[in-house]
Amino acid sequence: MDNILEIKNLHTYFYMDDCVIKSVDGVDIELKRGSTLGIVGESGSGKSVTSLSIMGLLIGTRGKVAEGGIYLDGKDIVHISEEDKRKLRGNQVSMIFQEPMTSLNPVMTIGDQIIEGVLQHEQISKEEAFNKAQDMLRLTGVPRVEKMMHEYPFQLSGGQRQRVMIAMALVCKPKILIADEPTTALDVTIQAQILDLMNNLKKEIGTSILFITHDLGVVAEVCDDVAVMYCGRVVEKGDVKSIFAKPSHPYTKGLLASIPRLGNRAQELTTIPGNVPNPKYMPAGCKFSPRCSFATDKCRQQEPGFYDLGGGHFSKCWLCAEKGGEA
Amino acid sequence: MADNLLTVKDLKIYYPVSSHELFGKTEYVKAVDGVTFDVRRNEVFGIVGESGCGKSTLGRGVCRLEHITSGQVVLDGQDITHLNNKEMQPVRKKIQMIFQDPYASLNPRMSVFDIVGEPLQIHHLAESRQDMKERVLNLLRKVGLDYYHANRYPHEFSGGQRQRIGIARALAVAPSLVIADEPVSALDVSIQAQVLNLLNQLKRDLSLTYIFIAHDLSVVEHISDRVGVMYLGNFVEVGQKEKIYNAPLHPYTQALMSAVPIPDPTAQRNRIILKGNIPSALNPPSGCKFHTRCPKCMEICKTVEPPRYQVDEDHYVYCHLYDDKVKNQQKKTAAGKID
Amino acid sequence: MADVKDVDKKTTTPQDAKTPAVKPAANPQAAISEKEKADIRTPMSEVIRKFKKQKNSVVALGFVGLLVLIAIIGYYLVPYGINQYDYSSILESPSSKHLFGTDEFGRDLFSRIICGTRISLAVGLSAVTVGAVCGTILGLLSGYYGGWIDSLIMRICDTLFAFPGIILAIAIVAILGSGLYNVVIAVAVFSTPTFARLVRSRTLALKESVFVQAALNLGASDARILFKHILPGAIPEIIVQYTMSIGTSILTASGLSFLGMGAQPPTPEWGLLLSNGRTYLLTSFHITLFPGLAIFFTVLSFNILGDGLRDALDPKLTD
Repeated sequence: MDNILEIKNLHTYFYMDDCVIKSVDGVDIELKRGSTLGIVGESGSGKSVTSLSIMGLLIGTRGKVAEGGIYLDGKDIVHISEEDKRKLRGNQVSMIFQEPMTSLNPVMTIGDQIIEGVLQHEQISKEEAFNKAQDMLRLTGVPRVEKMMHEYPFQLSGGQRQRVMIAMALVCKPKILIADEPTTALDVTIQAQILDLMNNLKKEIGTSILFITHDLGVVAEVCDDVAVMYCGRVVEKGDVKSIFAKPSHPYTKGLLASIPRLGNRAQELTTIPGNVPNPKYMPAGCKFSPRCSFATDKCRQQEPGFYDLGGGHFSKCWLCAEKGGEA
Repeated sequence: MADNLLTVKDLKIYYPVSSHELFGKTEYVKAVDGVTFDVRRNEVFGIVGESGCGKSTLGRGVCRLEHITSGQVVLDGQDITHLNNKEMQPVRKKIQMIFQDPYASLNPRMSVFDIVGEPLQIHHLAESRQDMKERVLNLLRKVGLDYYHANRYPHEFSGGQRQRIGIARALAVAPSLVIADEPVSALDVSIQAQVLNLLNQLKRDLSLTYIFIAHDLSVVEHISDRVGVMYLGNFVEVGQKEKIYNAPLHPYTQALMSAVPIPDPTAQRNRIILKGNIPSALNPPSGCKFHTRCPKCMEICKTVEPPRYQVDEDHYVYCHLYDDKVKNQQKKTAAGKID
Repeated sequence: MADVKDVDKKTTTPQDAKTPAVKPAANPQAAISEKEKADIRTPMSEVIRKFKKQKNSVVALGFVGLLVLIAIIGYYLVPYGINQYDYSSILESPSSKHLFGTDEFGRDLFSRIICGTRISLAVGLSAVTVGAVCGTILGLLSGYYGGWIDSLIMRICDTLFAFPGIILAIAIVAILGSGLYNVVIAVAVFSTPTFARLVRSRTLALKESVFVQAALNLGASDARILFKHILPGAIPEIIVQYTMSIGTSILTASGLSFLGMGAQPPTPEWGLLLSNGRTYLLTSFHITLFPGLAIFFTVLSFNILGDGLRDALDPKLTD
């Protein structure tokens, strides 16, 4: 399986008045064609900034890709003109966001919004675009499609809005769909429906999905591969079964141990002590070392490399140096 | 007979919504529609449900932050349903709340010291400036913060730390009942675990009683002793945690449990997908409110609201499937089929 | 009933099997440097930082500061008296002896304008202060309690809003009589509804905020909620409106004096100076020019200052 998307040594920095915030600081990620890659991380991990970097949506912010490259099907999508980036968005790379209410235009009908997306990238008549939009919306399983095309976002429920977002994102049959916490704001029963839908549409349209979330349960449900991020770096990546069965990096282990699970009746949850460091005052060496119970002096002084544990499973930890060679 | 710290009887909280017609009657959003339950001393009573089920409104109603339309709230033997502001003052020391949004629940213009010290000021609990300082620093330490945090302002803290500040504030008056309204929903996973452990520890150290409101089933299971499941303003099932989670009886509870994503890629999932959306609380369905989406809906469910059926010791279900008559009928039909 | 827990689960256990025997627990607190501990960013320091970034607002602030200084000590430092007649040098153009020239009585215009600064600023500031205080109180009560108080106050404000400011001011001065005190009252009256409406809308919004709910839950009294929680949240808008209103206030006062309803001669109020210059507009333009410029730059700098403050105080305009 080849990679439809490759992120190589990405560094995205935000240039503030008094400091530079290194939101993404050396990230390598591969998305295989036709699969779903989960990017797991908490606040400050840089997962959202990574997706914005892919979409080229850093314009207007103080962020810039300082180093590294992003390759869609082998082609560089960072160092291209704004016009070329615009052609990619919605067409080859689409994104859906966490809050569908704020991502949909409240004064445009659903139909108009989807059609707008189509007409941006395809030279077809408005009527053809309307039919295309309607067909896509039907695929997402909303009831009364014809009626909904003329409704406004406020008339829809959270789950329905998210389906509309999915329709908008997939109507041009993009190669990649970036889903940034798409189900976090939804109820658990609706979340189940939406995850099901995304899986089905992925197979039907042939899109590869980059699924950003902090919910490990969701990752286990829908993802084929996982990349765990912490403080702007990928600390562990591999296929979902090995990550869950044999987590190697202490952060991954800590995350998995700290989630309450149905049926687990332990009194105390294992926690990761401390907080994510202040981006202005990042610790030296391994960024996780202040919170790591296995940290050695070497960890506190030097940032570890990325070690190959076999089978596509990599971990950024000095403890793995004994196990495998450097990637 | 267990010692009940809180007794709620048939509580109703309705919000009037003005109709658009000139002489139309006022309609009501039935946020809480007849809820009855007890909370025992030193237990954690979890309330779980999806958005719009009324669990937050219920929590706020118990605190008297919402106007109660009808029903009764009895705290420690005292009926607090209709007390005016002045009478509520001493009651406020007994019952406190932790809010969901750590970013909105702290006044951005007050320092941490002022925020945590405010309840001490309001209730005159500190004898001197020095005493106040000591109490505040003690509270901060209890929730895992440090002395140098006291002079800072909320925006300098992370979500988890802000939530700790909120907890310190709630504990300042030494309450007996703490209502935690989605206290960890807005927090990162690893911080959730820290705050949950903190809440557990505080419960033990300070002999607190909690009402823990959340939509995350795993979190509720972890911290609660008894659990109540809510749907559209009513409880559908209430009971000991083990019974609810191991053998849920109400079809909604079963669907809810099956929908929770399991953090194990090798696990098999028997998902019950509910059709349709949650109906509006302005115009809830007749009879059993869940009947429009229930996979086991019967004729009676469409017209008659199910009463409370006691299925087991300390396990109640609001569902016609557990009516003895219906059960006997089903047994008879099953027996008939075998013949 | 189907047991939903009938799933084939393999629970994953934390990887403690491979943990080395005794490891001291991580101490994340130790990693926080002293520098980080000392780095406090109070809301005020944030505001100052954002304000300093706007160069023209900083210049405006400097100019306003200069004006305040002139108002306080200018009286003692001017080369000539404000009523120093000198019939030998009437209507002289600006020169090294008289920086802004002289008027029809030979009085030095520069000295008169400098001394007029105190009057304009005093009138502007006092009028707006009275309006702001009254408006804030009315707005707080109106927004917090609602009901008939709200209706009453808002209807009064609506009535006052219906009149263009200057017309209202003229009407009030016509009723009360000419003179600077009455000008102050007039301007205060027409500033009040602006502040009332502003504060009312902030109160309505803040009343619903979670931290106010939390304070109510703690048992806070209405007074505490209004003055410790709601008012501080409205202060930024009040400050901005205040600086903007000073400009309007000075213009109105000058306008009234120009019309002969405000300051009376020989007070060196700028509007009055402008009015004097009318007669000599074509011959001695300087008599009109310099008071006009004084009014212009003062009002402009207050407005720019207000703009800068609004951007600095707006919490949403973060980086």
